[in-house]
Amino acid sequence: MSDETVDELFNVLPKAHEHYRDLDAQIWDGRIDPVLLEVCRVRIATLHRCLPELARHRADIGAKRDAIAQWPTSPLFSATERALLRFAEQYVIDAQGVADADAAGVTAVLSGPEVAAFTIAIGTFDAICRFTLALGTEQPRAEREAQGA
Amino acid sequence: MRIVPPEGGQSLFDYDPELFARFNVLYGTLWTDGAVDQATKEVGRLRNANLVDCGI
Repeated sequence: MSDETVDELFNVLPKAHEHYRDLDAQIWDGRIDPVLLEVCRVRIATLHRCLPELARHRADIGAKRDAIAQWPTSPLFSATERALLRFAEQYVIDAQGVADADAAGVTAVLSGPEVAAFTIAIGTFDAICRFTLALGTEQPRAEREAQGA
Repeated sequence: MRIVPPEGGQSLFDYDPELFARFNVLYGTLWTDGAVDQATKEVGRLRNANLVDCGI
Protein backbone atom coordinates (compact mmCIF):
# COMPACT_ATOMS: atom_id res chain seq x y z
CA MET A 1 0.00 0.00 0.00
CA SER A 2 1.20 3.44 -0.74
CA ASP A 3 0.59 5.33 2.45
CA GLU A 4 4.08 6.71 1.85
CA THR A 5 2.78 8.48 -1.24
CA VAL A 6 -0.04 10.14 0.65
CA ASP A 7 2.36 10.98 3.48
CA GLU A 8 4.64 12.61 0.95
CA LEU A 9 1.76 14.66 -0.43
CA PHE A 10 0.82 15.98 2.97
CA ASN A 11 4.36 16.31 4.26
CA VAL A 12 4.25 20.09 4.38
CA LEU A 13 0.70 20.23 5.77
CA PRO A 14 0.67 18.11 8.94
CA LYS A 15 -2.68 19.46 10.18
CA ALA A 16 -4.33 18.71 6.84
CA HIS A 17 -2.70 15.29 6.87
CA GLU A 18 -4.16 14.54 10.29
CA HIS A 19 -7.63 15.63 9.19
CA TYR A 20 -7.36 13.64 5.98
CA ARG A 21 -6.53 10.54 8.02
CA ASP A 22 -9.54 11.17 10.25
CA LEU A 23 -11.79 11.54 7.21
CA ASP A 24 -10.32 8.44 5.57
CA ALA A 25 -10.83 6.39 8.74
CA GLN A 26 -14.49 7.36 8.90
CA ILE A 27 -15.05 6.63 5.23
CA TRP A 28 -13.80 3.08 5.81
CA ASP A 29 -15.40 2.48 9.23
CA GLY A 30 -18.26 0.40 7.85
CA ARG A 31 -20.88 3.08 7.37
CA ILE A 32 -20.94 1.81 3.79
CA ASP A 33 -19.86 -1.64 2.66
CA PRO A 34 -16.05 -1.50 2.18
CA VAL A 35 -16.32 -3.84 -0.80
CA LEU A 36 -18.52 -1.33 -2.59
CA LEU A 37 -16.06 1.43 -1.74
CA GLU A 38 -13.05 -0.57 -2.85
CA VAL A 39 -14.59 -1.48 -6.18
CA CYS A 40 -15.21 2.20 -6.88
CA ARG A 41 -11.82 3.30 -5.53
CA VAL A 42 -10.03 0.83 -7.80
CA ARG A 43 -12.09 1.95 -10.80
CA ILE A 44 -11.29 5.60 -10.09
CA ALA A 45 -7.58 4.83 -9.77
CA THR A 46 -7.75 2.85 -13.02
CA LEU A 47 -9.36 5.74 -14.87
CA HIS A 48 -6.65 8.05 -13.60
CA ARG A 49 -3.95 5.42 -14.20
CA CYS A 50 -2.80 6.22 -10.67
CA LEU A 51 -0.36 3.43 -9.83
CA PRO A 52 0.14 4.25 -6.13
CA GLU A 53 -3.61 4.07 -5.54
CA LEU A 54 -3.88 0.92 -7.62
CA ALA A 55 -1.23 -0.65 -5.41
CA ARG A 56 -3.37 -0.15 -2.32
CA HIS A 57 -5.79 -2.83 -1.14
CA ARG A 58 -8.37 -1.40 1.24
CA ALA A 59 -10.78 -4.35 1.10
CA ASP A 60 -10.81 -7.82 -0.40
CA ILE A 61 -12.66 -7.68 -3.71
CA GLY A 62 -11.17 -10.88 -5.11
CA ALA A 63 -11.22 -11.27 -8.87
CA LYS A 64 -13.08 -8.00 -9.30
CA ARG A 65 -9.81 -6.13 -8.92
CA ASP A 66 -8.38 -7.50 -12.15
CA ALA A 67 -11.74 -7.38 -13.93
CA ILE A 68 -12.57 -3.82 -12.97
CA ALA A 69 -12.40 -2.44 -16.52
CA GLN A 70 -14.96 -5.04 -17.62
CA TRP A 71 -17.54 -4.06 -14.98
CA PRO A 72 -20.31 -3.25 -17.48
CA THR A 73 -20.37 -6.81 -18.82
CA SER A 74 -18.55 -9.00 -16.28
CA PRO A 75 -20.82 -11.30 -14.24
CA LEU A 76 -18.55 -10.71 -11.25
CA PHE A 77 -20.24 -7.39 -10.49
CA SER A 78 -23.59 -7.08 -8.75
CA ALA A 79 -26.35 -4.70 -9.77
CA THR A 80 -25.48 -2.48 -6.78
CA GLU A 81 -21.83 -2.37 -7.78
CA ARG A 82 -22.75 -1.50 -11.35
CA ALA A 83 -24.96 1.37 -10.22
CA LEU A 84 -22.20 2.81 -8.05
CA LEU A 85 -19.52 2.24 -10.68
CA ARG A 86 -21.64 3.98 -13.31
CA PHE A 87 -21.99 7.03 -11.06
CA ALA A 88 -18.33 7.03 -9.96
CA GLU A 89 -17.04 6.66 -13.49
CA GLN A 90 -19.15 9.54 -14.77
CA TYR A 91 -18.14 11.65 -11.77
CA VAL A 92 -14.45 11.23 -12.64
CA ILE A 93 -14.74 11.63 -16.40
CA ASP A 94 -17.19 14.54 -16.40
CA ALA A 95 -19.12 15.45 -13.25
CA GLN A 96 -21.36 17.79 -15.24
CA GLY A 97 -22.37 14.79 -17.29
CA VAL A 98 -23.83 12.89 -14.33
CA ALA A 99 -27.41 12.27 -15.40
CA ASP A 100 -30.58 11.96 -13.36
CA ALA A 101 -30.57 8.26 -14.18
CA ASP A 102 -27.05 7.87 -12.76
CA ALA A 103 -28.09 9.47 -9.47
CA ALA A 104 -31.35 7.50 -9.42
CA GLY A 105 -29.34 4.31 -9.82
CA VAL A 106 -27.42 5.15 -6.66
CA THR A 107 -30.41 6.20 -4.59
CA ALA A 108 -32.19 3.00 -5.59
CA VAL A 109 -29.55 0.83 -3.93
CA LEU A 110 -28.23 2.96 -1.05
CA SER A 111 -29.90 4.62 1.93
CA GLY A 112 -29.69 8.39 2.43
CA PRO A 113 -26.74 8.16 4.85
CA GLU A 114 -25.01 5.72 2.51
CA VAL A 115 -25.48 8.07 -0.45
CA ALA A 116 -23.90 10.89 1.56
CA ALA A 117 -20.97 8.70 2.58
CA PHE A 118 -20.54 7.32 -0.92
CA THR A 119 -20.47 10.79 -2.46
CA ILE A 120 -17.86 12.05 0.00
CA ALA A 121 -15.85 8.86 -0.51
CA ILE A 122 -15.63 8.99 -4.28
CA GLY A 123 -14.83 12.70 -4.13
CA THR A 124 -11.98 11.90 -1.76
CA PHE A 125 -10.70 8.98 -3.86
CA ASP A 126 -10.75 11.14 -6.98
CA ALA A 127 -8.94 14.00 -5.22
CA ILE A 128 -6.19 11.75 -3.89
CA CYS A 129 -5.50 10.40 -7.38
CA ARG A 130 -5.40 13.92 -8.77
CA PHE A 131 -3.04 15.11 -6.00
CA THR A 132 -0.79 12.14 -6.57
CA LEU A 133 -0.59 12.60 -10.31
CA ALA A 134 -0.47 16.40 -10.43
CA LEU A 135 2.16 16.77 -7.74
CA GLY A 136 4.35 14.18 -9.37
CA THR A 137 4.73 11.85 -6.44
CA GLU A 138 4.01 9.01 -8.80
CA GLN A 139 6.99 7.41 -10.47
CA PRO A 140 7.47 9.04 -13.87
CA ARG A 141 6.00 7.11 -16.78
CA ALA A 142 9.38 6.78 -18.53
CA GLU A 143 10.84 5.11 -15.45
CA ARG A 144 7.87 2.76 -15.16
CA GLU A 145 8.16 1.76 -18.79
CA ALA A 146 11.89 1.19 -18.40
CA GLN A 147 11.09 -1.20 -15.57
CA GLY A 148 8.44 -2.95 -17.65
CA ALA A 149 5.55 -1.73 -15.50
CA MET B 1 -32.45 18.48 -6.60
CA ARG B 2 -31.74 14.83 -7.42
CA ILE B 3 -31.40 13.73 -3.81
CA VAL B 4 -33.83 15.20 -1.34
CA PRO B 5 -32.14 16.28 1.92
CA PRO B 6 -33.39 14.83 5.18
CA GLU B 7 -36.04 16.79 7.03
CA GLY B 8 -34.46 19.95 8.40
CA GLY B 9 -31.33 19.48 6.30
CA GLN B 10 -29.99 21.57 3.45
CA SER B 11 -28.16 19.01 1.37
CA LEU B 12 -27.74 15.26 0.99
CA PHE B 13 -24.69 15.48 3.24
CA ASP B 14 -27.01 16.14 6.16
CA TYR B 15 -27.83 12.44 6.01
CA ASP B 16 -24.39 11.84 7.50
CA PRO B 17 -23.47 14.96 9.47
CA GLU B 18 -20.61 13.23 11.28
CA LEU B 19 -18.77 12.39 8.07
CA PHE B 20 -19.62 15.74 6.49
CA ALA B 21 -18.15 17.48 9.55
CA ARG B 22 -14.93 15.50 9.08
CA PHE B 23 -14.81 16.55 5.45
CA ASN B 24 -15.38 20.18 6.40
CA VAL B 25 -12.58 20.11 8.96
CA LEU B 26 -10.18 19.01 6.22
CA TYR B 27 -11.63 21.49 3.73
CA GLY B 28 -11.35 24.32 6.25
CA THR B 29 -7.79 23.39 7.11
CA LEU B 30 -6.81 23.50 3.46
CA TRP B 31 -8.25 27.02 3.31
CA THR B 32 -6.61 28.35 6.43
CA ASP B 33 -3.34 26.43 6.57
CA GLY B 34 -0.33 26.46 4.27
CA ALA B 35 1.77 29.05 2.45
CA VAL B 36 -0.73 30.08 -0.24
CA ASP B 37 -2.96 33.04 0.63
CA GLN B 38 -6.75 32.65 0.57
CA ALA B 39 -7.24 35.04 -2.34
CA THR B 40 -5.04 32.88 -4.54
CA LYS B 41 -6.86 29.76 -3.38
CA GLU B 42 -10.17 31.45 -4.21
CA VAL B 43 -8.98 32.16 -7.75
CA GLY B 44 -8.20 28.46 -8.11
CA ARG B 45 -11.53 27.45 -6.58
CA LEU B 46 -13.47 29.72 -8.91
CA ARG B 47 -11.59 28.50 -11.96
CA ASN B 48 -12.28 24.92 -10.99
CA ALA B 49 -15.96 25.65 -10.42
CA ASN B 50 -16.07 27.37 -13.80
CA LEU B 51 -14.44 24.44 -15.56
CA VAL B 52 -16.93 21.94 -14.17
CA ASP B 53 -19.83 24.37 -14.53
CA CYS B 54 -20.68 24.35 -10.83
CA GLY B 55 -22.67 27.29 -9.50
CA ILE B 56 -21.26 27.15 -5.96
